[in-house]
Amino acid sequence: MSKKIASLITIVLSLTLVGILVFIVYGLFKTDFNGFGLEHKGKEILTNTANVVLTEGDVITLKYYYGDMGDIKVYMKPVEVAEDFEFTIDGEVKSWNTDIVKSNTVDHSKLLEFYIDNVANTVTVKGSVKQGLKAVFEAEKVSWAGFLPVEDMFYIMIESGDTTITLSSRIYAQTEKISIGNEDITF
Amino acid sequence: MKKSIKKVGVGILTGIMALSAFAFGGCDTTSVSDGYEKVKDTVTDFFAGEESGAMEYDGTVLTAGETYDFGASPKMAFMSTATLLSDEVSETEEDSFFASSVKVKATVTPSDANQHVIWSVAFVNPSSAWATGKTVTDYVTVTTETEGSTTATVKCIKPFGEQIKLICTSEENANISDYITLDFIQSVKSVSLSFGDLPINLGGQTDVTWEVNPNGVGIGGAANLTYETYKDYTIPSSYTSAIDLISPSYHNGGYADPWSVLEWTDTTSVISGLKISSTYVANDATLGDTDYFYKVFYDIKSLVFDSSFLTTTQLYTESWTNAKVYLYTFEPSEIIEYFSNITDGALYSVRVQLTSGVAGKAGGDAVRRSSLINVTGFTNNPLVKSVTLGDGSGVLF
Repeated sequence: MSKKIASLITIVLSLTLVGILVFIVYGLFKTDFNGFGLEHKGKEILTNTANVVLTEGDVITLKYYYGDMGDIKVYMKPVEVAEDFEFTIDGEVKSWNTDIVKSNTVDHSKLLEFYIDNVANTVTVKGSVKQGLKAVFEAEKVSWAGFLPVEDMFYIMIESGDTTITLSSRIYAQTEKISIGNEDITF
Repeated sequence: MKKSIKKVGVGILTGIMALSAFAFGGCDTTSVSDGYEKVKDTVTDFFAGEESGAMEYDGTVLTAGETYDFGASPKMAFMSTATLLSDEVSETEEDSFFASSVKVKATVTPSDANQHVIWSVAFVNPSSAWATGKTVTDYVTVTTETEGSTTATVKCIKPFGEQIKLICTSEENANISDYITLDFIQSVKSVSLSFGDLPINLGGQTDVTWEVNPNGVGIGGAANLTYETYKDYTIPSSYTSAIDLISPSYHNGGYADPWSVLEWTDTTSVISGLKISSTYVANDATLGDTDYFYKVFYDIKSLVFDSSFLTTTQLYTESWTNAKVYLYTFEPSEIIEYFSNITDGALYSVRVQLTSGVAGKAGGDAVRRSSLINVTGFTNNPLVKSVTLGDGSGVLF
């Protein structure tokens, strides 16, 4: 009799353990795996990801692993940078954090409009930061000294059904040329 | 029944293991979220250049051609009145050209493009007889301080016999790159110098004794300089040589006090506060006024530590009244007094300079090796020139 009870207890405990594991696994899928993923330059992106380096012309493809595709929506917003980035719009000095991220007057949807082309399960990066600023401020000339901050400047949120993958990313212009400043070296 | 329970248990455990494997092994979230491969770089120190500056002593800027009083310090100081150039890079075998490196910078356009680049090196002609079977990074390395940096350090670690390309490629677009070529000038591998039977310990210290007797034969003799070059190079080069005597303080790597050199124990009032100075001035028209180290004798052909060298260097003592008395005017017994209690005998540095016929070598066109001449004492060996037997002399057997 006691053996039967022991066996029963073992079975109950085992089933409880299985239940816990199923809950954990389901939880993983529920929170991190949305049933769809992204592909960028041959790399799969299944969860929210930072430091995504995008170049104008890059295509992000949506891939579905199960379920319906649902409506695809793309959102974008600029992100504050650690060391503010100053640039000149038609001669007027502005900064990324103040005049873009925290601004109430700049229409952030223009960024999305400018940068993202969402067609047939693909999201295409349409332009560089300089081009985007031109579009947002409707400016003729945008310039700055030095280079862009080496950190993420945008959130790109891709939503399908009730799940979203957020890419914390930086967007670059296409590289045109590299030149080594030094002359040939003799040792 | 037992078996059944066992089977159920095994089945459950198998199921748990399978689920665990799927849950924790199936989804490699790290590799997925990372998204981009990392390029490892080794950070190395940049080559540090030498400093230069005006000559000062105790706050006074020193002028070439002038003699200065440095007080009653019981030191022997060898003073030169010539100031010459130093963009010195190395003085010893250990600090040879291999220590030199070159900093390079690439520009990526436009400015809002991804500034990350990848540096690499490759043989220009990897199928050449010399390059075949060799690994280019055994000869030249390129490193960056931070991953993807547009600034890199190129270092030659071994002579090479095939031109090498330094390539900078856009991390974003592998089709966009630039390169420059690296050459290796036929370089000096080893240098050997002796004066007569006195071998000079280049890269270290050479101890000598000074023959104080006017009729004695001092240590030293004619200069004998030999050098060997590396067999691998892409640009052949010949070398011209010069042997100089320079301020010993330069040998020790400093500029501030070229005078404090040779000390001895202050045993008597006679030598208290003495200084010894060399008033000989080398004439080197090829070097300008902006040169900051002291070269006492230029391109010497021989070196003998005897009374004639005492004359040439015009070493003198200076009393409390600043009266100078030249050591070569002393009797040997008096000179001996000065050379008896030397505690720091640094005199000059013998420096060999081999200048390449090919300009533009990274780290300088000249190879320099030097040795500190350290006076340890004296000899007093009058040379017996002849023996005459007087009348009436005889030899008994």
